[in-house]
Amino acid sequence: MTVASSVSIDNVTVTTPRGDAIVRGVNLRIEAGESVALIGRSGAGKTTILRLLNGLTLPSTGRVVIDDTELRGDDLPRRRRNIGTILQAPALFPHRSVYDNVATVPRLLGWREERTRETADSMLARLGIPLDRFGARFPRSLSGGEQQRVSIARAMIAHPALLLCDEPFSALDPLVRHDLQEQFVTLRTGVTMLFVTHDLAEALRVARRIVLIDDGEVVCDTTREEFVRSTLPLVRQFIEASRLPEV
Amino acid sequence: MLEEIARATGEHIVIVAAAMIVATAAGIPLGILCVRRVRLGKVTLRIIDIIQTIPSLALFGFLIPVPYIGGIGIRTAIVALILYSLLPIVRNTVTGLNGIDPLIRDAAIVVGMTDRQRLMNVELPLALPSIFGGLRIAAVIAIGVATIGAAVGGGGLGTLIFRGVAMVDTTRILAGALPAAALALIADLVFGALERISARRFGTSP
Repeated sequence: MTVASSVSIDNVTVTTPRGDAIVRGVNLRIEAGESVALIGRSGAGKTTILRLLNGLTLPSTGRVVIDDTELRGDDLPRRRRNIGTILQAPALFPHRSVYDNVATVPRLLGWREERTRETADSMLARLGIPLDRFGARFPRSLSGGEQQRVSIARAMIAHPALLLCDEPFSALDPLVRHDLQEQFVTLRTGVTMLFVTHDLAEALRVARRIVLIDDGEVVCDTTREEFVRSTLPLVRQFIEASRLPEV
Repeated sequence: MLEEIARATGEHIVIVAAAMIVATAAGIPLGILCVRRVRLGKVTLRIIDIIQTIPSLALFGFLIPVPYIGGIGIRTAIVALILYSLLPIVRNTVTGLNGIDPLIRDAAIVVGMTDRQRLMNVELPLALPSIFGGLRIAAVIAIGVATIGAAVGGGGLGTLIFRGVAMVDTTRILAGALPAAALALIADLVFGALERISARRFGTSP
């Protein structure tokens, strides 16, 4: 029963109040069900592009369209309930239990409590943090990895049609990160996804299409198979940088 | 004498409580407004900052000729206490709201909460320790200033102190001063405890 959104960023520019352009004339179309990784160095504008898709940032010029409707205006809170966002840090609500954090979106959508509990139960079990053991605990008593699992559950519980991930695993140790990447891929089935990362290996693991951003512009937009064969200097740098050293 | 102390203490509590209720009801929304409308907030904070610098006896003096809210009596005392209590409550509400981790703020937005839901469900609860800190300071100030309110016929424990001073009667002075000090201590302890409990409950304590 998965519903997936189609996304279109049309000629969008984002300018800071001081006049610096962070995003310059970006066009990006993501078809329903596609998984796209946005990579680039720090400060390239990746996160800003992601924030355009949940309305945290509004375009200075151009349009952002999700499912044929422009993303703007008073309707934003309601539309965000159908967009799952996983932020850089877990950013759980510190005053709410694990269960209450996960139940946030279902409650906003007016789900029955039993349905919320059942869905939370199966989702948390798949993420390795069973509801009966973790549900009543508070975020501060969890490890970083556990917190990010809760944050994934909070973003995905209501089956959003669009999933936005902003370097969600970058603060975790490599083993936990790898583990979570795998669980994440099995959880994300069929839904449209934009995944921001500066880690090429992670991009190749979670997405089929890679978009390279540099200085606010799309430099390369292709399948992951084509991407690793690209001869663009910046692509080669990324590939070189993610190789293990010879020992 | 004991009866007199009890009555004055009761009166003192009523004056302070009435002022605190009004100051809280006005101060928290004002603090929220200051955070949402930055420029208006600066002006508001400036004004209540200035009120705070007026010596308390002078403020009572200023209020006496003001129609409706002023004059001689308990009403003037309450109005003055409200004005004094406003600053710590507004300022601590602002500090608490501004101190929320921007990522948590973003999280409340991206899950699809409306402005009102964010305020009620996330921002105010997380600002609560700071708000209780403001109430603690406001209560302690109000209990102290209320003793001076007796100078304009405000009643309360100040009446005993002023009468004691006039009669050079140390016992009478202490009969007013000791309960007032005790009230201030109790207020400090109670609101301090609320501040700590909310900080622990809401996970913002270090």
